[in-house]
Amino acid sequence: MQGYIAKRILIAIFTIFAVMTVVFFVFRLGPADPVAVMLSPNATPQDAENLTKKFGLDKPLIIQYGNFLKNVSKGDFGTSFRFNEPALKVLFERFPATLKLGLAAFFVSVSMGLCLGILSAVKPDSIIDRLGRLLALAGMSLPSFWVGVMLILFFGVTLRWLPIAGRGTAMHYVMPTLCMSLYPIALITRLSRSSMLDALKSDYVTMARIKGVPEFYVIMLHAFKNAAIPVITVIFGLFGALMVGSAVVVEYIFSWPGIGRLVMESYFARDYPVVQIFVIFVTFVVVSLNLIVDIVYAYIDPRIRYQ
Amino acid sequence: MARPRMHKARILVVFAIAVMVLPAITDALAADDATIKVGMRYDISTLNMLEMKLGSDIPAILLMNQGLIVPHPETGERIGLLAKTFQVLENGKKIKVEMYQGARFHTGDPVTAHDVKFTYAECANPKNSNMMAGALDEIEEIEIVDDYTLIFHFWEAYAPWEELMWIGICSKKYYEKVGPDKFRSHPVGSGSLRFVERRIGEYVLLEVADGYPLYSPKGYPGESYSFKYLKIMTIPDDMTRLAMLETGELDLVGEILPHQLKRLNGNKHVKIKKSDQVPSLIGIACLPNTDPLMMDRNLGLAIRHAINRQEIVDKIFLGEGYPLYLYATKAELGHDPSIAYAYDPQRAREFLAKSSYKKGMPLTFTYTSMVPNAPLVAALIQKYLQQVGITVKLQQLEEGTAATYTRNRDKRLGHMRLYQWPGSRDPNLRLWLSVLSTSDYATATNRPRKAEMDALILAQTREMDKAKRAELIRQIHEIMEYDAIGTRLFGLNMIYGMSDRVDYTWTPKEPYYPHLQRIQLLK
Amino acid sequence: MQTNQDNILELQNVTTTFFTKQGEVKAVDDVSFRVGKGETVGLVGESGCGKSVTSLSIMRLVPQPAGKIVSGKILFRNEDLMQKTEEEMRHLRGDRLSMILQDPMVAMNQLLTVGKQLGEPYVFHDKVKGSLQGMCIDLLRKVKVPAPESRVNDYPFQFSGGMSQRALIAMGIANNPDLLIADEPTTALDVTIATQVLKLMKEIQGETNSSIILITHDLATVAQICTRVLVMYAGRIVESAPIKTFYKNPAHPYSVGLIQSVPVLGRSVERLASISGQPPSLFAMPEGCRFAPRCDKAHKKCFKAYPPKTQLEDDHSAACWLYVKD
Ligand SMILES: Nc1ncnc2c1ncn2[C@@H]1O[C@H](COP(=O)(O)OP(=O)(O)O)[C@@H](O)[C@H]1O
Ligand code: SF4
Ligand SMILES: [Mg+2]
Repeated sequence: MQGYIAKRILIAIFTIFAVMTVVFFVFRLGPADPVAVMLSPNATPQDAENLTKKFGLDKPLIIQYGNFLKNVSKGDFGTSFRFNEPALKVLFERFPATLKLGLAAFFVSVSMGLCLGILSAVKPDSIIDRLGRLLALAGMSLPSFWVGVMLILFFGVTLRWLPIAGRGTAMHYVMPTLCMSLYPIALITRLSRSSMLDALKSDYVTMARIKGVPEFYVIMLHAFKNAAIPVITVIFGLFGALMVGSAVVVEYIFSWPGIGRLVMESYFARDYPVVQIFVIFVTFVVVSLNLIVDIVYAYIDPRIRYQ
Repeated sequence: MARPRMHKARILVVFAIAVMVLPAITDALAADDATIKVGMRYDISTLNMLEMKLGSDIPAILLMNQGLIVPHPETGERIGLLAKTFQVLENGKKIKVEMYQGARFHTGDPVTAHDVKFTYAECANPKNSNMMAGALDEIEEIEIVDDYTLIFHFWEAYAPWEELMWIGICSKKYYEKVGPDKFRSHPVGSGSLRFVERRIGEYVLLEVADGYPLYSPKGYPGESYSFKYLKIMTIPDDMTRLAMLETGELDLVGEILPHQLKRLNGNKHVKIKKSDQVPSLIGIACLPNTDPLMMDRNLGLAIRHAINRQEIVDKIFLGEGYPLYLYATKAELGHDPSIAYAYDPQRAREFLAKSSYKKGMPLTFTYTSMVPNAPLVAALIQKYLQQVGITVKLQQLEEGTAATYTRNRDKRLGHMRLYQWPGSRDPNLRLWLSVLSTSDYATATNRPRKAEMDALILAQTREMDKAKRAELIRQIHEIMEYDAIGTRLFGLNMIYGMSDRVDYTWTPKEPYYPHLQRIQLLK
Repeated sequence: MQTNQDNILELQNVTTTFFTKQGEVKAVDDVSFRVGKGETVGLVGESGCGKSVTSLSIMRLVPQPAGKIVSGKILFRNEDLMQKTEEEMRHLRGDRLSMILQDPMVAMNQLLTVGKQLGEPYVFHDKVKGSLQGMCIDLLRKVKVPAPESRVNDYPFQFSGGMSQRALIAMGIANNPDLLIADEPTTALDVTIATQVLKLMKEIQGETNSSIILITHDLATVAQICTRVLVMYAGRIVESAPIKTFYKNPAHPYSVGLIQSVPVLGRSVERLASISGQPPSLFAMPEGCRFAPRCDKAHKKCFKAYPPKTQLEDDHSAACWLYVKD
């Protein structure tokens, strides 16, 4: 177990390093030059030269990369071109907003998805099952951009039930959370429904019923625990990536000041250090979540734990 | 039988309560009497005047930091703010400024000539990469005569010197006390609003600083404000911004596109205003550096006559704009309404026949999303040009990519490029950057009358006499029209919307909001 | 048919149907039989003939939502289980009425310790006295699992096949049920272990005086421990006989074929040497006797109508036209 985890951590570090290198070169070999992007139309060639020097972009690419690695090893991920502050600081200033929204979406989608999935598996073809299937279909096929716009127009403008954008109250979380959760709800509903159906058909569930175990325990203790294993992979393994993906869209529509919007703005402004640290950070999060999945697996499934 | 009905009744009651209560709560959240909320597309990149980067940073920075000069809120003319008098000495080589005494920073310290000198020096300092740094190179030195008098020494006479005088003055004492980091996070100026809080990506909250500015120039509203806080909120998505205006979550939104008005017009809580006195210029740059064909005078004239500018404005912008034929916006020195190119496809075909353009030869036309409704505009232009026999291939470029191509004069920019000029009131900088053949950004370094043109640009910069300078600029336009490289298309009105609880009027000739403190809270 | 005070279980005309997309399947078709107190009844028949569905019908655990007991009475201790609520059934299951599933490896929850699963019949029937752990260890000891004190905390995957089957039996007998249905308890095991398991069941029955329905492929197993045999074919009971009569004097041609094909101990009826052909598809049942396509005694009548049950002697009945006197 320890050896296994140590190996995973080594792989994780290598992954992050590889991603870092790829990101460094992909951005710099791309068509746009941050200086050109950042300059206002009123800027003079002298301004451009100053900026180029300041960002260290006047040196050969390989030297830039060397400096980058040297600095990273010292924990310095560069200075944001746009904010004139350490890129890491810029990222972490905006991260709590994404984290809060992400956690809200996480809890909503996990609880909604699991409830819907379990209920529709327990009573196939019931109203809940049909509703769940409809929701799953909608969640998988409707783009979150469109959903966000519709939420705003319906709950914000027409009904006036919810504030449209900004933060401050719990109400402000409702629409972005819903928008962000729709796809994961659909995914988790579908997945938990099918693995719950499999579990409920299994012999150990019949055996539990034969023993006179009440239905609630049959479902939660016997069926759900087994059904949870494939669902956990999605919840932890995919969720990080999924959240970051939808954060870009949701944070844009709802003007949420998180890292999804930050990276989009930074990308368009060619603020490489911020985009870089973002990619590195996301890789880190996804890799660690996968590590968590492995550990959670081991916790749930004794077959892995006792290896 | 009774139970399901009970359920239904209960659901109905809950629903009814929700319908009544929730909007009340959201309205209460939205309508905060003391705070005016302004929605902006771009997040303010910095509140530090010394590191100002983008045009979208200007409104907040200038509310906190007063400059020597300010545009008059009603006429748009430049008038003194911190400066009482300006004296042009030695035929423009020196400008002597006498400041009002008694203006104070939010720290309570007086605003003096030392602060002015400090601010200009820092804005010109390359390490701050201020957007004004290049232009400030015109200043050789700032001489302090006494605490409230200073002399700007220019290397050479500089006609558009007023364009350097609006910079917001920062407190030297405060900067030296707290250092650059704290200065960046808690800026201090002498403006009528003071900094309260900034949430990056979210908002900037400013508070009315009573008693500022101490010396209100004529025409400037009095010292009492109808609100206490001004919140500049970043709402990147157009649809969201307008929805928030509809619900009262925002009080003021600018840069509304005409086709978005339909929704807003139906809302009696939203008031729409328009200004046609905003510098705005959208045109086509022809790129002879990419292909010498684009220097062909007859082809240029064919393009100019082929395009129905009025139709573009009417069809795509629902009439909220005006055709433009000249390389100067309505708000700019040198604007001459007599120059025009009639929409005349027949003439266009005649010019085309005389040109070296060969039938069927595709011309690449690139555009970015910087220009509003760019894909529609580009498609319509393609149609006009095809009508007279010019084959056009459209290509959309990402903004950053296009900016880089422009800077490197990359061939991938194509033969023609759709551009927008955010505008100013003096053409000098634009001429230097985009027309002067030695400039990095010039689209044509090989213009036929290049030498003549470059000389004129230099001359108008040094010409302190307004009338004489206007004549030089007229000659520049004449060459431009003769050389037929590129054409101008149209300008757009500023459409801005506000909630019915406020009133605001745009300052003429200004692309941004220089006077947000003038928003009136109506009863 | 009259109720008998000596019967622990009596099925009267039970029909269980699966409503599937391909059509309706009568997996159990008009089945009637009885099980006496303390009796061990063997239920034999080819794979897919409806043995498991019969036992699940008795437990009222027919797979939902496709399966349904459409008619008949299931009298258990002279009460009709069909009239019981789900909660009443739950109280009976694992207490008075129990069952052991076929494959111990999949019948146990891999994520819970054996002890936890063993304890459930106690916990959910309020039978915990003293330490639950102790009760589980005793139970494991009873089914002869070695070192039960440590084994009780093991997970099923740490158990061998034979041990798993013992543990499963332990779950079935925890509350000394009146009726235990053992669905092919030895099919998954090799011969020596199978014999041990059967011996164990017999011993336990001796102690608890439970009735047992032993479902099996293996006629030799039946011969070892059963008092009576029920032969099932394509969803119906075709013959019912006391064990001695059955071997000496089988009535139904299918039973005859079965016995002939099992000369050696442990040989499975899966491979019926002397009966050629396949059982009919339950979707396309022949109109007459279901065995007719494979029966060497089949005559005209056999293809027309299903033969009625004929009482041959006390306790011996068969459904075959050969024994119907006109
Ligand atoms: N869940 C189910 N859905 C549909 N049909 C089923 C199901 N379970 C059993 N059956 C049908 O019932 C028949 C009898 O199955 P079963 O009782 O398991 O046979 P066996 O005698 O081998 O135990 C099978 O042939 C099958 O067609
Ligand atoms: S009824 Fe006919 S076909 Fe069926 S078993 Fe008897 S003899 Fe054979
Ligand atoms: Mg079976």
